[in-house]
Formats: sequence, structure tokens, C-alpha cells
Amino acid sequence: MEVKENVKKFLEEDETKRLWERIYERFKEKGMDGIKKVLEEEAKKIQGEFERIKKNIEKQIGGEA
Amino acid sequence: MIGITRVKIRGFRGFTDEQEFDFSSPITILFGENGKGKSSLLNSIEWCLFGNDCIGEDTGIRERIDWEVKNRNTKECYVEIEIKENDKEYTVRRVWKSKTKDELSIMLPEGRTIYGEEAKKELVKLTKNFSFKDFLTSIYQHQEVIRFFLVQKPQYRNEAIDRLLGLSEYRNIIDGINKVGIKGETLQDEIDKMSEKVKTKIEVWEEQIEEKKKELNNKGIQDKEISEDGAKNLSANIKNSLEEFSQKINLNLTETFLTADGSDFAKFYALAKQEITRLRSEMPDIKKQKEIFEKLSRIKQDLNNYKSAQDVFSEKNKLLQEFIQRNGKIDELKKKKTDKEKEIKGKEKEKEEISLLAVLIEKAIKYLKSDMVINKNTCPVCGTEKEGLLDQLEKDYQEKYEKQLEEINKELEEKKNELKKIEDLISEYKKKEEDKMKFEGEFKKVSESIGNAWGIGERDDIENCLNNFKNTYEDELKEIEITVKKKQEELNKIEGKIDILSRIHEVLKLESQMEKARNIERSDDWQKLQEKADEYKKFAEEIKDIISAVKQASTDEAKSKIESVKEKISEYFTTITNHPMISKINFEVSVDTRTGGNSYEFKDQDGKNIIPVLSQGNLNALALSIFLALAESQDSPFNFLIFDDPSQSLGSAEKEEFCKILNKIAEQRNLMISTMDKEFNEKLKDKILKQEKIYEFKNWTPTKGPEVEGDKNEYGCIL
Repeated sequence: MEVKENVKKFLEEDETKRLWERIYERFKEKGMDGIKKVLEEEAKKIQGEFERIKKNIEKQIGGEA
Repeated sequence: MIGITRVKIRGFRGFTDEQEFDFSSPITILFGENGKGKSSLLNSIEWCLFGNDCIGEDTGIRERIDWEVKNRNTKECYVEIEIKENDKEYTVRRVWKSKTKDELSIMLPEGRTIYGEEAKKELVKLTKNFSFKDFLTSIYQHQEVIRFFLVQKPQYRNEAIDRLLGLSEYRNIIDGINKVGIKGETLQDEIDKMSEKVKTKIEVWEEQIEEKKKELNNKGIQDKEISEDGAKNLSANIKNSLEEFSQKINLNLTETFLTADGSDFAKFYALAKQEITRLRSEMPDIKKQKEIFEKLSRIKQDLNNYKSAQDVFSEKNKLLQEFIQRNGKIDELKKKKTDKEKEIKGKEKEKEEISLLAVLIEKAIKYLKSDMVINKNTCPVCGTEKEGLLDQLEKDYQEKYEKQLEEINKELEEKKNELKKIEDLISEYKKKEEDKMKFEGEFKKVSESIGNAWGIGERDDIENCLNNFKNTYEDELKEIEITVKKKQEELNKIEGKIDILSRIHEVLKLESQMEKARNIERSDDWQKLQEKADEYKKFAEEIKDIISAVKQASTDEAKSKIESVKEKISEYFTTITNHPMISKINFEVSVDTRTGGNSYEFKDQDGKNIIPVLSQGNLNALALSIFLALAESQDSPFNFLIFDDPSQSLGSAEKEEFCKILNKIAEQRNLMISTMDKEFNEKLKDKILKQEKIYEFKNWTPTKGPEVEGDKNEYGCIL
């Protein structure tokens, strides 16, 4: 059986399965660098939003907290 | 099943010029020292079948990372293999175009050539969808796998077994994920730090507010006045005070200020400050004060000019008077000059008379001395005779006339010098008199100008008048200064109120910020921030779950594969090694708690770990046993097996047993074996009964590639 499917069997959450599929597809396309990119992209999405909210909060209390 | 009968190769890896090899015999042996091109030939089969799938880190072969396909010394790079499936012949050709691109074509049995996607589909069909990973585990035994197997470090051996079992992909994925290093607590840590900072900020603000309130209390402001209402009242008070003041000095406040809303503090503060600055500069007393300042300045300037002109004139006059005292008045000097001129004239007349007599005597002497005069004692003028007349005349001329003339000339010289001195004095007098007149005129002009400017009569003393004016203005200025000071103090008081208002607002602003900061952790934004931190944590958890799933899948697949081949592995191992202590080996897999990867154990018939008692040759045999067992278990579309340097550490007896096994396999499958081992080569020739073809790789140069010896066909190609 394919690695992709083999791993999927051990995952419960749909969201995790989707993340795994993205990781695996990028790995097949670009190897380990592909994994790095997909994970960094996901992390940056959350971190970017986090930073935006953080700056907004800092503005409300008059400067860097 | 498909077999390979021929390989044509050019510019691939160690190859430069085109060379052709025949693989139609049951056994093909590539013999030669390391680095002569044997592996390049075997690799070319892989590349032709699987293209770029056999390059890169996910192959599990370390040397395949940054692997160069095309030889640097050639322009062209291609590999062509002839595949036989029953009676049908296919020619598969792969041409290198770039690092990421190649061109695949297949000549079909009927002679038609297909390209691109069509060729790819045909190749997949031919190889029964057999992947490169499958090829590695069951067709092609790589020398690197055995090299890693021989290393004593369990981590490398586990890695090599993973590769043998075709599980490298799992391992590479885990490595790839771990390299990124996502930490779930990162954003939560930031929130915690933020929370701490907010608390510290609140503490600092509390201190600042306390301090500012104390300062205001010291200025008489009560706590209840340090409030929004207090600030509004104070603003109204400031506005009233400014209105009263402006009325007092007959000035109007600007409409902008009068209509300004006290609740917009920043605007009110700026406008009030502007008004005060304007009132300070436009106050009538200030204007008057300025005018007096200007007048006083002019008086001082005129006084200076007057005194200066007067001083210069006085100095010139003094110099003239002193001259007169020393040398007399001009009339006296002129008289002296006339007298001196008369004296000189008299003397010159006297000199002229004496000169005429002297000329006469001189001529008489000359006459008497001449040859035409015989009687030298007769006077040529009066005829008187006198003994020694000529001598007498010469004596008289020298003593009397010459001496007299000399004296007269001396006197004349002295008198002329005296006359010159008198003339110099006269001209000096004139110069001094001119100077005096000039500066007297200047002084008059300055006096007239000042007199006209200040209305001072001709007979009045200008200096006195100016000093009087000065005193008057100075007195007036003192009075105005007192008035101005009083008004400035009034404005200072109002400005003081504005400053207090500013401080009250600072306190109110700090209190408002502090309130916001106190409530920030209950705000929607904070909630959203927390959600993002939780999301990040969840994301990290998902990654952990994925890693765990990859590990489980890898172990699961390893277990399943091992289960199907473990008996065969044991059989091959005991046959090759004939180990006295090991009659059976049991191959088990578990999860390595340290790395999380698969950990393999080999136990003997008594359940004891055999690795510590295995020699390098035994380990080599174990790796080969796993490969052979897997090759046998797989339902392979290929009728051949490839062995690259399989006898690396095998002992002589082990080589012989291994050859016997190969001989058995050769009954069903073709074998392609690369070796540098002479003994193994001899044993292969000796033990394998099937027809063999041997290519000897003798020499290799970067420009020519490998020099191979073997039978050649009618076109000169090696067969």
C-alpha cells in the first residue's frame, strides 16, 4: 500500500489527515524542502494573524506590551 | 516478465563516448577496480527506467543527493535499453535535458516510436507499475546498503534495514518534519510574556499617577479636582480669566479660542497657549515700551555721534594752537620769510660785485702772463708801474677775492636753508588749519542734524538737551516696566492654570490607559490572540500526531514485510554463514524509544541477540539474506537481479555459499553482478553453471570514460 494511505490509517482527525496529505504531496514534489515549506506556510498563517492582533492590542494600551 | 538484453550508454555519470553492452546472457559479470565505471553502468539501467525518481534524498541513498546524471565532459547524455517481454522487443531511451528535465521515448515492437506521456504510460504498463522503491528492495542490491549494514552503530544499521525493506520514505518524512521544529508553546509563551509586561506597565503607571497627583496636591489641587469635571471647570476658568484680561488691555480674543470646546483638551491647550503668546506681544504697554526703547537707543547713538565729532574737531584745533604757540602766527611767519628773502638778495648782489672785480684781476693776470707783454710790471688797466705787479696780483686774487667769495657763498647757503624751514612751517600751518576747518564743518553738520531731529535750538547745548531727553525717557520706561510686569504676572498665573490643566489631563490619560490595560485580558482581541495560540498548539499537536502515525505505519509495514520473509532470511543466512552458534535467526521490529524510528533485532534460536557475535562477513551475509528474501517474495515484473559489490566483507566460505545460492537463482532469473573481488569473480565463474558474459573494466579517464574489455559485435560494440 502507498505510504500516504498507510499513514492515514493511523490518523483520526480529518483536519490532521488533510495536513498529512499536503505534507506528503509536497514531499513527493520537492522532498524535505517541500515539507519545510508546507509546515512553515501553515505556521506563518497562524503567526501572521497572531502578530496582527498583538499589534492591535499594543496600540490599545499605548505601545509595546 | 521482462528482461534487459542490451544497454547503450553515452555521457551518463562515468561514461563519455557511446558504449554498448550485451545483457542477454543469464549471468553478466562486471569486473574491475573501484571507480572504473561498473556502478555507472548499473545505475544507467535504473535511470533509464525510473528517471529522476532515482535521484535525491527520498531515494534513501545518501550518494543520490546532488547526484550528477550528465558527465561534465560530454554534450550529450542518454541511455537506451532493449527490453524483451516474451518475444516482443522494446527499446526504451531516456535523454537528459537538464537537472529537472529528460525526454523519454519507446520504440514499440512494431517499429513505431512513442514519446512523452504516451511513452511514460507504456513504461508503467511494461514494468507493471513497479516503483523505484520496489526496484531498490527486490531487484537492485546497492553497495551503500551493505556498507551501512557493516557499520556497528545501530542507528545506521536500522537505517540500512529500513532501506532494504523499502521504508526510507517514512524515515525521510520524519526527518523533514523534525527539521522544521514547530513548538506548540511558542505563541502561548508570547501571550504569557505580554501578560507580564502589561502587569509591569500598570505598576509603572500607578506610580506615575501617584507622583503626578502629589505634585498637583502640592500646587493646591485637590483629588476631586483631578477628574473630567475638574478639568472642565478649570478650562472654563481659564477662558474667563483670559476674557477679563483681554478686555482690560482693550484687545479681543480670537473666535477660534472663544468657541473652543474644553473637552477637547489638546486643542484647547494649544489655543490657550497661542492666545497667551499673542496677548503678551500685542499688549499696548508692550508697544509703548518698545517705542521708548527705540527712542533711547537713538538718543544714545546721537550722543555718541555728537561727542565723537566734537572730540575730533577739538583735537585738530588744539594741534593748530600748539603750532602757533611754538612757531608764531601765520603773518609773523610770512614776515620772517620776506625778511629772509631780502637778506639773500643783498648777499647775492655783494657776491656779484666781488665776482666782477675778481674777473678783471683774473684777466689782467692772464694778460700779464702772456708772451706779448714784455713789461710785466705795468698795469694793463691803469698803466701804473709797480715792481712785482704780477706776483702781487696773483697773491691778492688768491687771498682776497677767492676767500671773500667762499664766505659769501657759505652765508648764502645758510640763509637759503633758513628760508626753506620758514616755508615748511608755513605749509604745515596751512595743513593744520585746513584740518581744523574740515572737522569744524563736520561737527557743525552733526550738531545741525541732531538739533533738527530732536528740535534743539542753535543756541542750546545739544549734549545737555540729549541727556535731558534720555533721563525723561528712562523714567517713563521704568513706569511702563512696572505696569507690564504686573500684566505679565497676570498672564503667568493664567498660564500656570493651563499647565495644571495639562497635568490633570496627563493623569486622566494615564488612568484611562491603565484601565484599558487592566481590562485588556478580558477584551475580544485578547480572546482572539488566545485562540490563535491554541490554534498553533493544535497545529503542533497535529504534526506530532502525523509523526506518530508515520512511525506507526513504518513499523506496521516493516512488521508485515518481515513476517513474510523472516523464514527465508534465516535460511539464506544460515546457508551462507554456516555459523556454528546460529541455527536459526528471528528478525523482529520495534519502535526505537530514543529516535522514534524502527529498531531491528536479530535473535538466535534461543532468543539471544546475535549482532554482538556476528563478524563483518556475517553482517554482510545478513544484509544479502534480507535482500534475497525480499527479492524472492516480491511479485516482480523483472526477470533479473542486480548486485553491486555484494561480497564486500564476506569470507571465502561465505562467498562460495553465496555463489551457490546465486547459481540456484540463475536458473530462474538473469543476474547482473558488479565486483572488484577477484576471489568472488573466480568463484562466480566456477560455481555458476549458466552461460556467463564478463566485462572487464580496466581503466577509466575523465575524457574517455571506462575502458572495457569484452567480446565485440560486427559494429565494434562490446558484446
